[in-house]
Parts: sequence; structure tokens; C-alpha cells
Amino acid sequence: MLNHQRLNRRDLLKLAGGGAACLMTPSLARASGGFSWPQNKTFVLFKMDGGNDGLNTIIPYTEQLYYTNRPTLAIKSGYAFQDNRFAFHPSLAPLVPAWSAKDMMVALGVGYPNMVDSHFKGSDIWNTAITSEDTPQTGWVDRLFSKADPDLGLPYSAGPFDAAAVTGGFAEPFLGPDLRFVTSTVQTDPSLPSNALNPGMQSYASANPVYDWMYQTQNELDVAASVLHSLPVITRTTFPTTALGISMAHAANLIAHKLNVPFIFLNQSTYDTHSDQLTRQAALLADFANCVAAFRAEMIVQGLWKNVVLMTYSEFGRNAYENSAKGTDHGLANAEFIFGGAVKGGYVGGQFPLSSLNPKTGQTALPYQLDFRQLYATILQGWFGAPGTVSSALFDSAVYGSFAPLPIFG
Amino acid sequence: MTARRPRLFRALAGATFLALFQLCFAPQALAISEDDAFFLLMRTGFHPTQARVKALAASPSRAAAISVLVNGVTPALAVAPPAWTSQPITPPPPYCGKLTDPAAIAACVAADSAYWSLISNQKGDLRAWYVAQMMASPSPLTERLTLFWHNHFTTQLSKSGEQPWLVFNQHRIIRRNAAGSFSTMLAQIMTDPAMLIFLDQQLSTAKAPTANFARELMELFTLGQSNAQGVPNYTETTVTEVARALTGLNVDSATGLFLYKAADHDTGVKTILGQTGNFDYTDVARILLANPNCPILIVSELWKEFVSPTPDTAQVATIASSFGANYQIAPVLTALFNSDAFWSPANRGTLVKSPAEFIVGAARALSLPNSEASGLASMISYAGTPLFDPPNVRGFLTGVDSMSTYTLAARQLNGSHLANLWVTEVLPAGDDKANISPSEFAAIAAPNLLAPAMLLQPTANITPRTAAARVLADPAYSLK
Repeated sequence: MLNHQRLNRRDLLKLAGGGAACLMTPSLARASGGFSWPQNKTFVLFKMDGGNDGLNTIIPYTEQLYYTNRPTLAIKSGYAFQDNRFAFHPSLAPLVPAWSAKDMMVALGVGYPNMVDSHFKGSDIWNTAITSEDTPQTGWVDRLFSKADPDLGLPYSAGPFDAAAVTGGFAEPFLGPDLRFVTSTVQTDPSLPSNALNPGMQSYASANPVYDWMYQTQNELDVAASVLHSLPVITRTTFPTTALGISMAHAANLIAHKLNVPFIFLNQSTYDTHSDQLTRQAALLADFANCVAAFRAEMIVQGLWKNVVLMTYSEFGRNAYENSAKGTDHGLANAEFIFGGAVKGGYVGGQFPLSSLNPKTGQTALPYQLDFRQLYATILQGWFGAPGTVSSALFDSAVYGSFAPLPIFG
Repeated sequence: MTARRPRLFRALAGATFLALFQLCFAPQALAISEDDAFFLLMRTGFHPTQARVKALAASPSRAAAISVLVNGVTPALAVAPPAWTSQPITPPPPYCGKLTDPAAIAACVAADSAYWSLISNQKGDLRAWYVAQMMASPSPLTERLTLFWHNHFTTQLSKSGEQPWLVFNQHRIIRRNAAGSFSTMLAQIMTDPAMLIFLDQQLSTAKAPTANFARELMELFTLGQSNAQGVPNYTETTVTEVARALTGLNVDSATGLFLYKAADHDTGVKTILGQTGNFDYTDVARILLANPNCPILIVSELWKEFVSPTPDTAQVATIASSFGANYQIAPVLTALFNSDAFWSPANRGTLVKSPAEFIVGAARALSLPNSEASGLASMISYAGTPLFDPPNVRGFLTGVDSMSTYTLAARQLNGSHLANLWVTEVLPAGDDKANISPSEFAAIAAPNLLAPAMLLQPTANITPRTAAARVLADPAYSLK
């Protein structure tokens, strides 16, 4: 098991490189106001990759323009739920119990100033939580642990890693040099420990601090991956057998083992519905709803539902007007979901009426009303209990203003 | 690392010990072994195939081998660029806002949509072409230099207003001058539309000069913020004055070509680094190039790219003093590659391959077909370093600063994809079998994947796919 109170790797490198012994400051003694990650609390970041169409998810069914703007795509009946403002897409029926139990919130009009409708730039902004042209190379979760920023540098979690990608592949909010990351795609083969294949390569590169750094990082990753791979299944809920269902079962199992992992990333792709949207989005949302319902059920069984928050994000919402291919093109603000036993339920944020759009001036997508950084700040402060200075530093309040926590929790 | 050696020892070593050593052992010491050739090729190019190692090891000396590599730098392309690069730029469609007729609005919106999907396709084309070019290039040093200069003269393909067409033209400038004249490259970059748009220079006028390009031009492209003693190389006033001098630089949005708008130029007198006059952008280039901090910055950066993470300030100063006289890049490369520091065992394996080097190098070593270039370009993006699209003007992180559990996991995943491609696209079907012995693996893949000195001692028989993935996942494979 890793010793999480050890020197951070950068310090070790400096030492190995001949740096001064005064660098041996334990990494826990940081300017994070004595904060430590609360026991067994997990924030699950769920990316609806490609840009989910929020307007056909949380439907402004009382607005006539909705039907005018979307002659073939407007959903007219079969809603999973409806109130006097919105109706939920029929595929969301499995989530209605969570909504009724106030375990689910819908955040409306989520975005940021001067939104962009590029997949890459939009994803970069959400993943880094920096809205300028000058996006940093590191994800916002990694920056929480940044040793370079005196206002950040939160300590490692008590777990074997701080952030896990269980869908496989990459999890851009975790990209960076500072947190301890693991992904389910790291393969460990006990018969073939890393570096056993070619000791010659080791000797070629060994005895230098850069190699030490790489080797230690590799060991950290291998240990984390072996922890991740060796967890016996202790969940009791039957998850859907889709790829997403398998990933969510892994996420639930990881949480159920109470390893103290504060961040988990999940990804569901192909929301980029430029064509044939009705069928495609219905299938995606049904998979999503079934998986989240199973995830919630399992967390309740484990007695951990109050310890978990799952929030969705897409790089952008979609255009309010359908295109000629029975799909929708890239838009701006979007509706997102927040689930968890500790949330208050209901709506947060707001959505401009469709009548506020004006295609003549190119305004065909809803502008934002709720900055996503305010939601993340709420989760950091109101959920994890991090000091407000962390959000201010993370989201550069000097430039972008403060993001006061919203009344979402308890 | 070099910096750990006490200064006195280094001086003694330079003056006496080395002279004595060379006198006695020069012929043997300077001959080139296969290990040396492998190291030289990997340091100055991509992970080399064994054929290239053997060919270079036939050189009479290290210096001769280095000449072959430096003289081999060429702007000639091994892979033809996308056809649209030689056609006029596709200008953005007009703004739809002033239209009133619904049909006209619909047509305008459709044109807008078509334009952006064209741009998106061109970005993919451009990245795939670059990877294919790097895979096929007879001069890996050329490609490494283009990667280096792109991370020096940064431009973001994702910036709105930026276009693949413009970025390819910038690439032409970089490729044409990669080992040629730095002063020529700088002059061409200063009138390069992609750069001017990236740093908002086209918005700068005499009435309202913007400082973005002026600042980065000095801080990142020529002088550096401060010198080795920590003394600032320029002041905020210098930035303002340079910004005034640069006004007039602009882009013709219809053609995507450089346009000098004399009417926007501030014709007043400016004072820049002690010189006063009615300066324009050519004067700025002249003044910056004449500043001794400019050659020091460039040589230091080349040192960090090719020699070690910690430049030796004395040696950098020596090389920089001749570089500053003519700004020829090739002699700097020759000096660096022939330096003791370059060959020092203490510096071997202290540089980290970028994801592009890692992936292109593996693709070359495993003989992956060029048709895979597009997928390989995506792998480079997934590793956090999309080609032509650094996160900010400072460029991608390099060295250990870029390495973490996350980026190492990305390398493992990419290594595993590369091994899969090798098994499915390259290996004869019969070789795709379970459990080969170490010697079988060596026969199939080791010649190109492993350094000559490397042993291959797997603890158990494994599949070719696993073996290749394991070699690529070894942290040592990421070093050079």
C-alpha cells in the first residue's frame, strides 16, 4: 500500500537531483487550512460526451416555440414526469423515484460566459474550469492538489489514489502532475511485473533522478491498479449489462469498499446527435437512467448514498432549432443532473424562455444562467467542506469573480 | 546532472584532464559504437530501427555521424500535404445577423454549419498528415526540430479565427527554417497570420495598441523574462513601446495572407531597450536579435531539448556568442551534439520523450503503416498534447513536469493500442500466437524496439502483443 504521507514525488526528484534538505517538508503541511478529505465521500463526475440535448431532456413543454423550432424532434407525450414548467424525457422514467425522493436535482441553464460550441474547446473549459483562451494543461481536479499554488495543494486522500477513471481510457479533469490517478485500463500481470521484461532498459536509464521519478510514478500506478483490479465484488444490485452499466457497477463497487477515493470519472459517449436524434438520444438516456437508478439503489443498500454526489456535464447544450437531418447542431447552455442522498432535490439555476432567442441575430442557442464553476464550488465547499479560499484560487476569483455556494446540500 | 559537478572540477576537467584523455585515447573514444549510434539517433530523432543504428555506426567518428544527421535536415516532404493546403483559404461565411428573409437565414446558417464541419475535417487532415510525415521522414531530426519550434513559436489551432490553412502556412515557415536561420524564421513568424491572430495582433492599432504579441515576442520567443542572474530583460514600458512599434501588422481576412495596414501604425517615436526612433516591426526584430539575451534563450532551449534538463550556463554562453553573430541554427546543433555533456553517461536517459515522439517512435520501430496516422494523431491528443494545439502560449509541458500517474497511464494505454496495431496490421497472421519465448520475441520485435544494450528477460513466455505493450509501458522507454 502506498504511504500517502510520504514526500511528494517532485520533492524526491529535487532531493535526488541534489536539492537542499529543506525541501523535506511533509506534503500535508500545506496552506489548505488543515483541510483533509472527509471519510468515504465521493464525487462522481459523469460526462455525457458529445453534448447532450438538454432541451429534449428537461423539456420546456409549455412553450409553444419548442414545437415550432423542432417540428420533427419535439417530444409531445409520454413524459416520465411533468410539472408546471418542464417535462422529463420518457427515457428518464427509472429516475422518477429519485426525483420524488429529492435525491435528484436538475441544474438549468448551466454554462459560463462567452460559451463556445466546439467539442474540444468546450470540453477543455469544463475539464479545466478555466474559461479563457489560455486553458491550462491540467484538469481542475488535479489543480486542487497543485503543489505549485500556495492557495491550493490539498492533501492526498486517505485512499490508495485520489481519482479513478473506471470507464477506461482518459479522464481529463484528472489530467496533471499532482493527484494520484488510476484508470481501469492499466493492466497488471503478477507474472510480469513492470520492468521485468527488459532489465537492460532499466540499467540503460537507471541511476538518474528522472528515471527515479518515472519509476516511482510507475510503481504508484501499478499499486493503485492492483488495488482497483483486486477488489472483490461486494455490490448486490443487478446493473444493466451495457458498457456503461459495467462501468457503473465498478464505480459502485469501488465506493462500497470504502477506500476513501474522493473522485471518480465516468463517461458516456455519442451524445453528438446531429442526425436521427430521437432514436439515438432515447437509447442513450434510457441507458443513463437505468444505470444511475441501479447505482442509487446500490448506494442505498450500502448505506453510502448520503456520501455520494454524481453530477453530469456535457461540453455544451444543443441548438434550440432542429437541423435538416432530424438532429440538432451544437448549442450553448445545458441542463445537468446532480444526484445524491444529501442533495435537496428540485431545480437550481434557470432557463431563459425560447422567446428570448433570435435567429435573425444568430441567437439560436440558450445562453447560460448558472456558471458550472458555482456548482463545483458548491460541491467543494458545501459537500467536501473545503475552505472557500480553495474555490477562489481554483477558479481564479480575482479574474472571474467569486462563486458562492448554492443551497444544494442539506 | 551536469549542474551537480562543482565548478572547479569542471574547469579542471576541461583544461587538463580532458586534454590528456583525448591525447591518449582520442581515436577509440571518438569512434561510434552501435550503442552510441542508437543514443544519437534517439536523442536527435525518434526511436530508431536497427537498420538505421547499424548504418550510422559505420561512420568513422561521432562528429561524422553528427554531420550526417545535421546535414540531412531538409524541408522536403516525404508525404504530400492535404490538397487544400495548396488552394486558396476558405473564408468564413458572412455573419447571418443582418438577414431578415427566413430562407436567406436558413441558407446562411447552413453555410455556417458547412464551414465549421470543413474546418473540423481539415484539422483532422492536418494532424494525420503531420504524423504520417513524421513516420515516413528520412530525417527524424527535421521532424524533431519542427516539433521543437512549434512548441517555441506556439499557436493554438483551437483559437477561434484560427484555421488549419493558416497553421499549415506557419508549419511551412518552421519547416523551411528548422535548422536554417533563426533571424529569418523570426521575421517570417512576425508576419505570419496564424501567429498574429493567435496573439491578437490584428486587433492592435495606433489608437489602441494591444500588448499580447509584444510581450510574448520578448518573454517567450526571443529574450526570456530575465537573465541567468534573475535580472529582468525588459520592463513593462518596453512592452508598451514594442506594442506601439508592432502596430500595422495585420491579416487580410479574405485571403488569409499577411497585410500591413500602414494607417494603423503608430508613427511616433519609441524607445526600445535603449534605442530611440520611429520604429516599426522590422526594427523590433533587429533590436531583439541584437540583444545578447536572445541567443542565450534559444541555445538554452535547444540544450534542454537535446542535451539535458539543466543547461550549463558557461557552455551555453560560449555557443550563444557565435550563434548571436549569424543566427545559423545548424552550427548550434553541431556544437550541442558534439559536446561532452551530450555524450555524458550522467545525462543519458534524463530527457523525456513527448507523447508525439513516443507514439511516432513506436510506430516507426514497429513498422506501422502510414494509413494509421490519423488514429495515432488521436492518441497524441488523448495523451494531452494535441498537435498544433498547446494549452497556452507557453506550449506543452516537457520533461518530468509533464509526467504523472495520469500521463504515464496514458502512455501505457497508448502503448497497448500500438501493440494491438502491430499485431493486427504488421505481424504475419501466424506470428499472432500465444506465448513466444524471449528469443522469438527478440527475433520479431526486439531489433527495432530495444536498444542494442538491452537484455530481454521476461519471466514467463508471453504473447507478442503483451511483450510489445510491456516494452512500451516500461518507464525507461519514455526516456531518451
